[in-house]
Amino acid sequence: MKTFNKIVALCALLCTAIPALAQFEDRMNDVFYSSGKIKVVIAVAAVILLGILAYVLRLDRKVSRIEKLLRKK
Amino acid sequence: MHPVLKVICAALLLYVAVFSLWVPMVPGLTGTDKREIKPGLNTFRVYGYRTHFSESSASLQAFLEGDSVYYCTEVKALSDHELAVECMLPDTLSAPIMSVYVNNDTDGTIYLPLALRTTAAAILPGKDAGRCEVKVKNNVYTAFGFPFQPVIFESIRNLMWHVPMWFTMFFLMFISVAQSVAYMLKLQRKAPGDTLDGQSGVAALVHDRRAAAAVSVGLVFCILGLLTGSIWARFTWTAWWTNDPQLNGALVVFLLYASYFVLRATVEDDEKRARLSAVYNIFACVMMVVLLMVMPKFVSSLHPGKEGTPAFSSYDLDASLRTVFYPAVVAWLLLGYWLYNLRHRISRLQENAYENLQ
Repeated sequence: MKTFNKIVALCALLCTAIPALAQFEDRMNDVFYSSGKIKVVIAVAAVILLGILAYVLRLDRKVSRIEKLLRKK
Repeated sequence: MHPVLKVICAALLLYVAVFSLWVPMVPGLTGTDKREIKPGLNTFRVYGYRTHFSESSASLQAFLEGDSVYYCTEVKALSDHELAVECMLPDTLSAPIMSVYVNNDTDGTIYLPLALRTTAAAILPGKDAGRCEVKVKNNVYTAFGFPFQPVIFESIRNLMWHVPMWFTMFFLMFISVAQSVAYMLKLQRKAPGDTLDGQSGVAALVHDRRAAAAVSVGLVFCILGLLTGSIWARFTWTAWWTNDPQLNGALVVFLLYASYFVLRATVEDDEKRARLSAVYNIFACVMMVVLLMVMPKFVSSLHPGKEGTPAFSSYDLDASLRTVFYPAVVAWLLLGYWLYNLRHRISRLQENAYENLQ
């Protein structure tokens, strides 16, 4: 339930940001279409790196949970 | 996983990260200031990327091509990346849409396909009028670099990032389905009269654990493939998502495998869960092959890589791209296998820990 509330709050926050989003879109176009679209590559590489890191963190948490179980014993 | 493989994986990833960004692009044309041409005198600008217009201004040539070739009489380099072009065109043109070609000794022959169009001129295909009398040089740029493609530009480097995600996902899903099949075979080989929670049934659960671990990691690569594809689409097709069979197929595959975990979460009993998810996994794998490998070959799609092996053939995969792309595929397959290896070992430890607790 706690997570659900958080999601609702986040959605509400995002709705208030819609006018700012259009401006953000313009700014983003300026950045990403410049210098031969090299920034698209940077963004893609960053997403992949962060994604793999997020998964490693998840594995880390699982290992911690196992360690806790073993200590309990 | 063998330590040597881990070292190879790390080394290849480093190589790919460095060279996918470091190798320069070959020169190319990015655009013109006007899109419309008409009979008579046309003046327009042509913009280049990594070109050497001023430096090689002595050997500059420009011409329009559409069935016939029209030579541009006046070509002036305003800078290394900007040309002012004058072109005299006859009343009757050979094609309604023309490509722009620029040639000099440094950059070779570079072109901008279908850059200019005309509505004012009469069109007579194959007409020789205005045909180029000057001998047009056709140089090839020989320095090492990634090919410059219209619209894609530098983002061709994404080939080494986005595409291996999908290769790795396929690889992991195939490992997973192999484990599911192995599980089913082991169950079948059980002696008649054995109950499901007999010794062999429990031993077979190893394969279930491995299948789930492979799907878990495969799903990560699927999500990364979708996200990176979406970013790439935004800046080449101008939309985060297009209603394209290949894209929608990928999304359906993601949902299929996500529901694999939903299914697993709904069943309490270990053996029942293992059997159900093994059957579902085989179904999901068949759907994946149909949606991502078979179906895209029969429908038209914006997405490249439809003929032959996915993502291999229709990309103009020249030697420069291959020197980084193939190592990238190997690197990501190894990393995917490594993560899968970690994931199923953690599952095993987790189960051992729970058993010890009871």
